[in-house]
Amino acid sequence: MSTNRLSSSQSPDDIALVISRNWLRKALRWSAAGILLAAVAWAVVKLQSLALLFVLSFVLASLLEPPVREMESRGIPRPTAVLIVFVVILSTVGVLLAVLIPQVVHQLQLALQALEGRSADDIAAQIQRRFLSRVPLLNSPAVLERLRGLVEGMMLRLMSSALWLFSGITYLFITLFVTFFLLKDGHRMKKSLISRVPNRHFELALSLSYRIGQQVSRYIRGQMVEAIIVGLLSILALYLLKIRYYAFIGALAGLANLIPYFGPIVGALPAILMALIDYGSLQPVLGIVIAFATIQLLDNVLISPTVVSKSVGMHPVIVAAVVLIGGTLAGLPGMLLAVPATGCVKVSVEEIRRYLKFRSQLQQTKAPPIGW
Amino acid sequence: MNSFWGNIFKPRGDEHEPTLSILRKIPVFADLKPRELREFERILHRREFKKGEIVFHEGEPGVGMYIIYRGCVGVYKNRPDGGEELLAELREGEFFGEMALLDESPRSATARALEPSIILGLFQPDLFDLIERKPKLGNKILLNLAHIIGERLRRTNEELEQLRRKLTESNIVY
Repeated sequence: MSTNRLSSSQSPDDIALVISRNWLRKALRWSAAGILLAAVAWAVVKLQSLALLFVLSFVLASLLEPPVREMESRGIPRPTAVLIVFVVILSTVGVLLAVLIPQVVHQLQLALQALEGRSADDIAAQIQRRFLSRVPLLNSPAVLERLRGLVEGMMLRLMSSALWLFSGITYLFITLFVTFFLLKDGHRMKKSLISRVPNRHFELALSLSYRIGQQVSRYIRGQMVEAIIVGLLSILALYLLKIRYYAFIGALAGLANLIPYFGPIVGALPAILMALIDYGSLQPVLGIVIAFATIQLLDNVLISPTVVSKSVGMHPVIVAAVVLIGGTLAGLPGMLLAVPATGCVKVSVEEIRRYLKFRSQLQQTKAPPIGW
Repeated sequence: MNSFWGNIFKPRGDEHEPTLSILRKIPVFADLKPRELREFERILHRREFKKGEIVFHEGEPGVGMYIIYRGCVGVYKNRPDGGEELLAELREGEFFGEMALLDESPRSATARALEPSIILGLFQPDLFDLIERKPKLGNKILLNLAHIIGERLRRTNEELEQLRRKLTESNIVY
């Protein structure tokens, strides 16, 4: 009987049979992996909101893990520590929201009121009157038509974002509920999942899951801290430049900063548009461009290298490609999550490669003489 | 009451069998208080091995130690001629592989289950996590580990000294 291992005593026919069997097994394994990957991608796209809920909960749990750990190390049981952190964070966020939300809602209401009864044609015509008519090249019906389409799209997006703000409260509560249990029982959940790994790969799986978990948490925390700092700086800059709805637009710029390359431009556009509508001159626009460029410079030189893990550096072409793919697959949430998700995959692959390299190096060296 | 995730990811088998009495027999954990022992038990991984199944291979990077809960494990050393030499047979309550808890040096022997066995695994990532979350307990375990490894080093030095003496007596040393 032929086995799946090759030995010198086997005939050429047996060797050919073993090679074809091994090849078939490899092909089947790769096909199964491909089908699984496709199924996961399909499920993520189809169950977008559910997937987003779990990703958000995971991000929040990663952000809240350090204070929970700190309290646990001071002798407070984990469930109590999670509860305390939740109460403190919710109270702080509640106070902040009590100050910020009325402002954002008020500004949003003002924006919606300003738009009420006004068609996209009116706004486009106003922009043309105030700004485009001064530039001979842009003073044409075709430009006006393009502008009308752009304004119509932005108005629709503003309306839907206002609706989302209110319906999102339920979503937020479910996310917090899941986050609570992820924080409280995350360890047990991970242990249960990893217990399914066969004995042969157990040590490798455990070691890798720990390293990947650490890197991914560090990356997520860095990204969020960066977004918050950029958001606050943008709010301050827009407030100083006396741009209407500065809090809302600034917060949006902070959030958009999570999307590399495209984010800063997307974040600056609403502010530029608002300045154009209100002032109709290039001077405040120039101020906004300088402010946002300075913030980006600060981000790239100071904030990003300090808070975001350097190990997740990706080639700009890959970043642009994954952002576009994310946008095509899942819209704005897809664009927001594309880079962190790719970052997680990259970190995982790097860790696996590093471990396998280390393992092969170890196997080439001689084992130590004592202890096992 | 079982927690939410505990109900969803209910482990297979009789996981609730007492392991504390086994742990108390092991010098590394002998002086832990019952509460600390229960806390420590949570980071252990219970693995089931069939007869003849390999626990770890010689030369592979190791990340943890194993405690035999039930069954028997043989520790083998590869011989230059390709065969294996049985170094020890370990039974319930005995442990092996503790060096890997402190560094990721390669395993210096192969461990194989000689009968169907249940083995508790304590791994470096979980120990590091415990040290971060419960520094007092983590330090206690680390100190006990250091004692055991120190004791082993002392014994090895004594054996080395005896060997050197024997070699000197027989005039082989130059």
